[in-house]
Amino acid sequence: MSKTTFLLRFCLLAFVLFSFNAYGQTALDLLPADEWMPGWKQSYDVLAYEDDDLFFLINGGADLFLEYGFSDVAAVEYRHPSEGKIYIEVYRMDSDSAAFGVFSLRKGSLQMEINPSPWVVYGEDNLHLWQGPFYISVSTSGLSSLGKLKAFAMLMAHFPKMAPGENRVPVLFGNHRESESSNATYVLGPLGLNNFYHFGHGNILKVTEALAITRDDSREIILNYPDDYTAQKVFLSFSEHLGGSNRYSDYQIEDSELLAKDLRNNTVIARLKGQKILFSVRKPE
Amino acid sequence: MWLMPMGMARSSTPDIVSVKGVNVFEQTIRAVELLGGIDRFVKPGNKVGILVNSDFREKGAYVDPEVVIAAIKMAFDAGAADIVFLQPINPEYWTRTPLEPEYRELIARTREIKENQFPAVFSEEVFVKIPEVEGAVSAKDLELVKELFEVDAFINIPIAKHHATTILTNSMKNLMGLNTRASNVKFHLDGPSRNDPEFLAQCIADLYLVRRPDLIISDVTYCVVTNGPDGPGEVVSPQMVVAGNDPVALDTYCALQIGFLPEDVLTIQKAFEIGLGEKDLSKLNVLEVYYE
Repeated sequence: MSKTTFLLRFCLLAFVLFSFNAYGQTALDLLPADEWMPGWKQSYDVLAYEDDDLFFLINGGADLFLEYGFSDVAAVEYRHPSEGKIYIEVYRMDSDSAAFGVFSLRKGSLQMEINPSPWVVYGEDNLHLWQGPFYISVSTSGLSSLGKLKAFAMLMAHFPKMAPGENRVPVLFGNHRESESSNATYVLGPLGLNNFYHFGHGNILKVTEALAITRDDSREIILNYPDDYTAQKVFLSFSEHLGGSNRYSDYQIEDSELLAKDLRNNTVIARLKGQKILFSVRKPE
Repeated sequence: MWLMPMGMARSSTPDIVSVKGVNVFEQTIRAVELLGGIDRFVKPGNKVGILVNSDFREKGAYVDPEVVIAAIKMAFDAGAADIVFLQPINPEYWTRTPLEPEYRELIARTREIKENQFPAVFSEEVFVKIPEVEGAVSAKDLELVKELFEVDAFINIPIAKHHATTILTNSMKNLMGLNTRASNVKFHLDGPSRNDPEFLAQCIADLYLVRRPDLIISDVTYCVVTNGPDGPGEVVSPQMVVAGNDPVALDTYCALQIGFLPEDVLTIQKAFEIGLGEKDLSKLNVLEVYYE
């Protein structure tokens, strides 16, 4: 082997190893070790699942994780003899976008704190984090307010250290994050869309990605397509579907806008705008 | 107390009773009374199995505990010797109603199958293997809670709410709580494609063929209609407790109350096709009353 070939191979190996260290962590790698805070230890063996076996961890909702693109998960409970319990689930998704999607889905309407990394949401007893391809859910039981703050601060520092890097939001979300970030959910796939509004069986709207924004009196759903032509084709096909469906009444169409009432008497408005279809589902007054 | 008819049943024993109001405990009692009374389903000395959708934290995603307390009170009053929850109930669940202190002793008289706790791993002591189900189209190699086959009366207590894949989860999907997790995973994954909605719905309908509940009491008071089955999500509050024993009819009726089209709910279609019940409500006696 010549010196040049050796050097090339060495560089390639170093690159692969570097890539693995930077981006190749599994969910299991990210779980804090025993004594991550003094006195806190895992109370049972870590539960770890890959791919479809996620159904063995989640009772209701595993299908959504799979739709977004799930890789592996690790979950365990930590106990302190006198301070309480902390349960942590670390999900590794197939991409940053997928992890952001489930983060935005699971946080509900809680207010996000937007950082370069991680993004976090606090509830009364829980914490949601998004860090690169990881979505992390933390729930506590029995902790004092101070104990919770301390634990949350430790975890917010721990995960970026384990999986360094700046979070990259999906472009569709980025375009709307200024005004709507706390109420917006990034949606991937028809099952994700079903979670907000059911347009009927089959992927009628050919959805791959969307943004769902929840307001007090309405929901806005922004469906994004690769180009104007695709959006127009889907819009036309949807308008035909809408006209023939017993799901809607008072159906009206005007240029690139559709209007109808659904079964819950919501007003559904669909507008075609470039490569997007904008839905507004307004509650009855 | 007022019971005001909102709709008319065509015979003395309705197929479905819906009681609307704001007192969930009393609505449950009245719904079963109007269905013919608890004595129709539970006899003195009976062993009663109850399956409740209680394992969620968000209001609108779990059955209001007052429905369950009313059910166990009625069953004990009818002379039940033993009441067993076929899936365990977290003790914290009961504290979600102010009725808990009053009925604490009654609740303490019930038992539960602790081992059927998620992720419910098969053991010969607790579960039984059922390789084939007569009349089933897709479900096979089931692992079900053994005590299901030892009870004299089986009461199914679901909540009508959203589920991303099946759209509605109510009386039929709730029976997945009788399975080991391994069995349930087959429903999701053994179809022509991963998480195939048609296959999942067929398996759920088939499961009903194993042991049909004698009584279904569905909580349609406050229900998650998006981001189900766990929520949080949009909620509606039809304020109804609905009782019956035809799962197809009941799920059809409940779907409409929370704004879902029965045609979208594949479990209803599949169950109708294998003869589990009637989906045309105009052919049934539906009694709707308001309890005040």
